[in-house]
Amino acid sequence: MPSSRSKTGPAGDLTSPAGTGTTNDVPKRPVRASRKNAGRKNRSPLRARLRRDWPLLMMTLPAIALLVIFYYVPILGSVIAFQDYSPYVGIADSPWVGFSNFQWLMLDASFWDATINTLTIMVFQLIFYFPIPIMLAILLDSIMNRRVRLVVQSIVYMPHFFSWVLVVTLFQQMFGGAGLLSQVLRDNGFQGVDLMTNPDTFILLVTAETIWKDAGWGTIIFLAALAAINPHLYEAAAVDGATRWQRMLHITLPGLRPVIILLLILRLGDALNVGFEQFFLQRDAVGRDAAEVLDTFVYWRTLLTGEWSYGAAAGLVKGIVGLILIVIANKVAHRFGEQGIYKKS
Amino acid sequence: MTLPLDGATTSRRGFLGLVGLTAAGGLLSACSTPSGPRPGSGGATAAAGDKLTSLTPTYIPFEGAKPDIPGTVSKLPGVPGYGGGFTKYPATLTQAIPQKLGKGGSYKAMTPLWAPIPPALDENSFFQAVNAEIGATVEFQIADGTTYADKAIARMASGDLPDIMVIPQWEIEKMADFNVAVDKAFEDLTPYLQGDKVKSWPLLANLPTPAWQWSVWNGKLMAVPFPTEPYPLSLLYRKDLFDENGWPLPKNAEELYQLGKTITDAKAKRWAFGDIHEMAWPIFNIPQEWRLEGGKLVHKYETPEYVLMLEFMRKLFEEELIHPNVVSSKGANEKDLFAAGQTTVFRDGIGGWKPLLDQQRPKNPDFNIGVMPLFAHDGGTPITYHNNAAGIFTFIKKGTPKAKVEEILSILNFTAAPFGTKEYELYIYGVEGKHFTRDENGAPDRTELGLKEAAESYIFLGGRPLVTDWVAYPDAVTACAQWQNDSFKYIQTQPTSGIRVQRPAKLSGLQVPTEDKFTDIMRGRRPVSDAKDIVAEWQRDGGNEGRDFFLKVLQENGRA
Amino acid sequence: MTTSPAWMERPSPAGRTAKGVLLTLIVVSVLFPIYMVVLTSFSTQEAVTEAGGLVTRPGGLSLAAYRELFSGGVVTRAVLVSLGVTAVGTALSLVVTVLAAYGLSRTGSVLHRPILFMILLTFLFVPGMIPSYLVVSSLGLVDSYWSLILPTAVWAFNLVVMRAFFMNIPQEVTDSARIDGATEYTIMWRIVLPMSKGVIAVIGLFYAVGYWNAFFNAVLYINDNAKWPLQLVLRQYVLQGQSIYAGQGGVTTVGQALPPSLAIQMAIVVIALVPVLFIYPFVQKHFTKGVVIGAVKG
Repeated sequence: MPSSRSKTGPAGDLTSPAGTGTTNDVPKRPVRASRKNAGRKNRSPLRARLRRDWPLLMMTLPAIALLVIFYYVPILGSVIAFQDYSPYVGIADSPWVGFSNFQWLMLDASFWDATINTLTIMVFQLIFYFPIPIMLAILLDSIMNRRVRLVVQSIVYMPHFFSWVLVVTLFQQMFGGAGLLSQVLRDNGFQGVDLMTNPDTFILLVTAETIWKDAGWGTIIFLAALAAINPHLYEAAAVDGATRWQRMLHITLPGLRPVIILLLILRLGDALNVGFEQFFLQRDAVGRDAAEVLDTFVYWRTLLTGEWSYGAAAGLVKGIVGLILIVIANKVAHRFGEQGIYKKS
Repeated sequence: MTLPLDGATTSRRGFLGLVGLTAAGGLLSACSTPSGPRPGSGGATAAAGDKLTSLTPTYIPFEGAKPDIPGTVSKLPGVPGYGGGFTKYPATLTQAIPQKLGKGGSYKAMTPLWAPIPPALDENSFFQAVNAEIGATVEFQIADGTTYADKAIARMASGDLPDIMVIPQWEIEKMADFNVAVDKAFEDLTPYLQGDKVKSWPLLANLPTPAWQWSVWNGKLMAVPFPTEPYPLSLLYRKDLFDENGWPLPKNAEELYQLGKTITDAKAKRWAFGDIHEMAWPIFNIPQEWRLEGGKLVHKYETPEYVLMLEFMRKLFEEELIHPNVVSSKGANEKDLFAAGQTTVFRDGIGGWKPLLDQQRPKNPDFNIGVMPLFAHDGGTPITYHNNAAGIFTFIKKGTPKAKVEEILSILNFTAAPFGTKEYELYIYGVEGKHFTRDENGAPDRTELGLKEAAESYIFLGGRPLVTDWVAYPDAVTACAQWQNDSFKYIQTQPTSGIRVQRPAKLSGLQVPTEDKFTDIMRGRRPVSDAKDIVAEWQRDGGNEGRDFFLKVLQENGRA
Repeated sequence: MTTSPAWMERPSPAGRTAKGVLLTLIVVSVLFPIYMVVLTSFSTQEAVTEAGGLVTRPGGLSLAAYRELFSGGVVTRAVLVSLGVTAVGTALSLVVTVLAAYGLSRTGSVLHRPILFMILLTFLFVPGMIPSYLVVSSLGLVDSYWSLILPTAVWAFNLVVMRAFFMNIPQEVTDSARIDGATEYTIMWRIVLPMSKGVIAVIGLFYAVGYWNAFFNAVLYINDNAKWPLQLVLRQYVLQGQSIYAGQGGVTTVGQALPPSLAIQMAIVVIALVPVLFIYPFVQKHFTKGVVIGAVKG
């Protein structure tokens, strides 16, 4: 792959001529960059394009208005990351401290431990969790009886609505030291086993819990995508004598690909979020070394100290990492000719 | 390693927001540390010692129902006393407030709740009845007790406050700058209550002085306190199972361990212990936080006893004497396990006793709970920790006009009526015949409507002296009162007892990371020998700074 | 029994067996825990005590948990609040999201990238609790049901996903309509939406479930207990069970209520599941192949 891994920014723009189909718009001044690209492409003057596109712009207005009021105004409050903020003193009067909150964060070994744990778990789940809803969706989609399909799907998506406390309790009752498995073993003269307290297998445990809870729910979006695949394609392929496997490889998967890639990129943007409660609950059981993730780290770090600024700094770091990952992932997607989140224009 | 200390540590809050007020053997003094650069963090100037005496309301005991088992009066600084226990419902109730003090005003009150919410005012005959008796309308804004701090902070930060706001001490501990918030958000009650002025509200005058002292911020009386019980935690055990099996009560750590081995039988789904960790601390004579030794402060982590405790707990985990569910999740429902007999000993507040009886006695009359007599790990003189004198505070919104403040205080006077008064019965149980009926012993028994409407609400407004009033279970009251009276002499005061110290944030921030490491030792993930390193890291990362801070507090209070 | 299209021939017996076994395993692994939850919700306190946790073998059965939940009138009222908020919120969110997703779905349209980028940012950075409260409070929305809807009305994730589905509709279809002089609204309404029922149903489900499950905004913005949504009311029943915050800061036992029996907690789980079960078939109905393309093209 070419060296498009360089930092985003003007340099990236220069290395990707319009003709090749790679665009680099996300950097610091997105407005200008995109205008430039779009202009290059469409060749019509801005005013003409405005006249043509204003209905489309109007359509985005309600969403923009809501986001500006309820998102962009409050997000300005994140400047407290650069303050020693007290909510009772307010932003205006809290002293500014520059980057010291970030420096503290970077110097904190526990922050790095938590980040590494978070990323490890994220990557692990990307490999061992992410494909499961896709496979499950294809499996469910292949059930021919509509009623059976409905019932099975309705069942597998239910655990999504269980709280983590309940999910952990259920796993305990199955695989914990006092769980069914252990009882059966003990009744038959063996030692009980406790699969819930081993730090070495913790990542397997949380992934299993996540699969149980969310894989069924995760299928929904893929089922919708499967439904949107043109049935004529299957028909034509069947006529051409393609086997089931061939049809899956050449029609189903390509049909799902845009959605898969979109979700993959969005997941990367969310890379530093692997959940809070699940880890919070099981943290003592396996120890901080195995179970501390960024969210629990920030929680414990700020719980008794009320350090809002520190928490805000951690939030900004998370967002920036997510942003960088999204941009990179999107570029990679474009290299492979995918549309990613924003389509190459 | 160079740390970006300037602008970070020095202005890091915690080392500033201190207001110390103390009552040491009648000689009152106060202290302060230099205020940091934060604008408006004020109030940290020295409050003159004699000012405190004049700050707190005069104590005038209310002559009401006498407990069947007298309690213990506390002479220890900042330590609440024990109010005693009632084994039967008082035959006649006192009318504590001869005439209505309310003037028909209407007030919103934010209170926490850890139980189902009742219907709101216009559909709740219990609220209406109590309000009518008070002579003023209290409209509750009940909030989820577990997310209470979030809501309270948001409301204080925006100034969007109810007339009356209740905040528990453990939430205040999460608000690092509370002494700033309190000045901005709430009315100073000193001019209304100090000294003899409290006499206009005789039931407020019945609240113990240490509790009032704990309600002082920035040298001002800011809240009406809810007094607490003396003991934070105790070891509850299944007395019925212990009696049945003839298990002995332990007198030292070794016996506790042996007991665990005797009781635990995984095949029978029975484990000796639920969570008992926090009770292992006093058993091993570990100080509640600091120990003053020859003019030096030693933190609990630094004591040799702490290592002994770690070794002990490690043994319990290693030999699987603690229920696996408790080991593997914070979400384990310990009370269910205890009720099921899957665990037989766990640590809980002494108040956890009664709800378990409520739940289990109806179907299992033999179900019985005991509280383990205190013992020390080596069989010597035991110690126990203590609560601070007040646990929950009621504040009045800043800028409330004088007449309204006075009316709110009248409401709080009403809700300060203690057990054994008609007012107490009304604001707890409601109206006889409607919200409750009387059982054969004359004790209130809630009706269906009472269960639905009479939620814990008025009880969070202000406070009243606490007693053990589970008259439905005289045996439990006797056992509980006896334990509380017997244990009082073992209360170990802290060097800082009675001084309201806003803990340095850095020290608070160290707590979880450090205890995580100790948890690793207890659970066998790290060797016990690592304890030394963990303590060294703690000292380096802020422990020593914290020590200096506390030593200074003590010096300024003439205690070190 | 539905008739399967010609290209969906029956798989080999071995394949069918393997699939059947796999599906059965999956279904059982989900159903057994759900059975425990439901059974516990119908169990007596003694049966729960006996089990010391979730009940696996039927013992004493009782409706007490459900009676307790629905006796006060508070839960019933909260159900209405939640239904209202969910219905209005989902409708509003869907309209706003569909409009914006369509408005951004034409590559090369003016400003579509910066706007998209602006929406994506909301996915990455989370505003703080206090600034959000200040905004809602200064708009006078505290204690208004709108405070449960407007702050979360647009989810970047949903918008981006819906846009991706819109973009998968072949360009020729919309272009030809445009050449025929159709306005953007007509194209969206007549062509794009009918072809996107599946994704609209899914995104509608996501929004609905989001509104139905949300509780933290209500914690912050609703002071009036009569306006509490269901999740907040139900949470009050399980506070002791979720011991997340228990034992911190030397909590005194003052005022701590009776721990709810596990049966009530599980009844709450069941109650929360029921509407979800009812909704799904309506969503799934739109996952039908063959509505697409062919018809429009001709």
